[in-house]
Amino acid sequence: MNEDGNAERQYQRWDIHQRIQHMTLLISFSTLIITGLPLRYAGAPTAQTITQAVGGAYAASVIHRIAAGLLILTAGYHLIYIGLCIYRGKQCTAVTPRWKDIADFIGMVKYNLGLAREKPRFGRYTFDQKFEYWALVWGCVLMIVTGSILLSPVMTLQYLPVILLKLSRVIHSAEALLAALAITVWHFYHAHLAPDVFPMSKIWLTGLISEKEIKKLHPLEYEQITRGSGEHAEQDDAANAAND
Amino acid sequence: MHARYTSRLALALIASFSTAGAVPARGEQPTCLPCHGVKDFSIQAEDGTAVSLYVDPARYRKSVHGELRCFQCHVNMAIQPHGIVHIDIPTDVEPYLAKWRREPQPATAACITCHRESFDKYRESIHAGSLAQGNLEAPFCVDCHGSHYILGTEDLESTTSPRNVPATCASCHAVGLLMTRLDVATSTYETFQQSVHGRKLALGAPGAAVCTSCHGMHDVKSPLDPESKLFPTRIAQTCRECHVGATRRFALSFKHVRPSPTVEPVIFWVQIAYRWVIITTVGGMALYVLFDLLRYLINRARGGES
Repeated sequence: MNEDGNAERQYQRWDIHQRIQHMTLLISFSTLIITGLPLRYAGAPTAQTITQAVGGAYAASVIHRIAAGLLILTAGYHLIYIGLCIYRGKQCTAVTPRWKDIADFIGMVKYNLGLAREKPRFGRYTFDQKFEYWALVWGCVLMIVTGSILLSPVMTLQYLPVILLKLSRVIHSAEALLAALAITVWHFYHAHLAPDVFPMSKIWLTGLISEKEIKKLHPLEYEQITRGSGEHAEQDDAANAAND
Repeated sequence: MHARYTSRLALALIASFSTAGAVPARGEQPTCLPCHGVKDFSIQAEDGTAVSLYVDPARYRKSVHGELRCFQCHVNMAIQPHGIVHIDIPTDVEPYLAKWRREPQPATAACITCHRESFDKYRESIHAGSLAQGNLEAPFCVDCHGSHYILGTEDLESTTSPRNVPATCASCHAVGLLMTRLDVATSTYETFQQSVHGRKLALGAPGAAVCTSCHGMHDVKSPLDPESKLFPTRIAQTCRECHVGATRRFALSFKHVRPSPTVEPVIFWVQIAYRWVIITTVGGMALYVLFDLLRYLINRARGGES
């Protein structure tokens, strides 16, 4: 398979901090959805069954707040992680949106429709991963802000206008549905169902990606690593992460 | 009034004792059930429709009044069978009995014998006022509580348990034919269910506010009535029963309205916008994912690389 021997060579893709962040996000996000979404569909028998299963409406509201705390901690952890990355003088721009991402998206659509022979060649993070990352960032900001407003309507209205409270109610509920559906369709496809990773990409557990996978899914990053130091800024931190 | 009523009841009882063979033994149901306990037992009303006179003995016994004997409420039926005794109705109950087309039914007035406090509160309510003014559809005791099968409010199946109060009120307040004539909104039930209170109630939250929590119970009044719990000068106090520190601004932020282009337009358009964002975003994702998977399957069918 490769020059090192029988075992396939593995590359470090996510360090322990990234895996912890993914884990706490996974736990808090799913808990928030399970304890929160039934309130949007309170009239549905399924919503009532789920709420009974988590210990009733009061328990659900308490668990929801605890999970929200975990999500906020995770967001804080992530910000510190990025801050340290920048402070240490590394290039931390692997997820920065670039024009190439739009070109890659168009390229993938063309390829899937049979209008192009070759798939676009991706770097460390593909356009779909970047899209999901930034959707998550935006979603977290919205949910944390509106959730804080809804935490105590009495206190909120001492400082903010009524319309903000009502808007928060609408946004918190609709954004939750959007997030839940987006994760179900987008993330479950790309991290589970997609033929390249089926039944599941194990990066979130091991932090490792095999040589075969990285060559196929992130060819530009692979070239960057094997060439040593980078020429393109966007792959620098990928190389750093791999060399850490 | 109360004393007079009970003395009449006593008279009726004495009268019934003098009627041979018809007096029920104490602690037992009287001789009513051989007929009224039969499922199809009914009479024909003047307009030809069948009026059921059936009482389910098992359900009655499970009700809060299950220990009482029939004629304790049906006081004028104390002489069996059906030797109707004239009972003077307390004068303050009379205005409300026009509801019953036939002879005023003492059974209806009988609630007041034991539940005087609730009746005195009821008399202050908009329901009582409306009924006394001749709106015969306005509710009296039995319209909300039921009659033979009344359960305690702590019983989930009760019409007045917190879980069922909204549906009980809605049995009139969501009916357009009844409410438009009175110029009362019919959207209140739906808007309640959409509210946080209604959602929490549906999920079984203990203490979730229902209609009566804010509007009052027996003494429910129009929100325009200065005595109403919802009158602007009193509404904050009402909210504070649950929401510590609630202000008037907080109180007035809750309204029974459905957002529309004219009512709460900002909320309305944000809801519409979100609906389309969700449909296009998730729909677009699903399409992309579908074509991605199809491409893989096509490539594999052709024997190529995925």
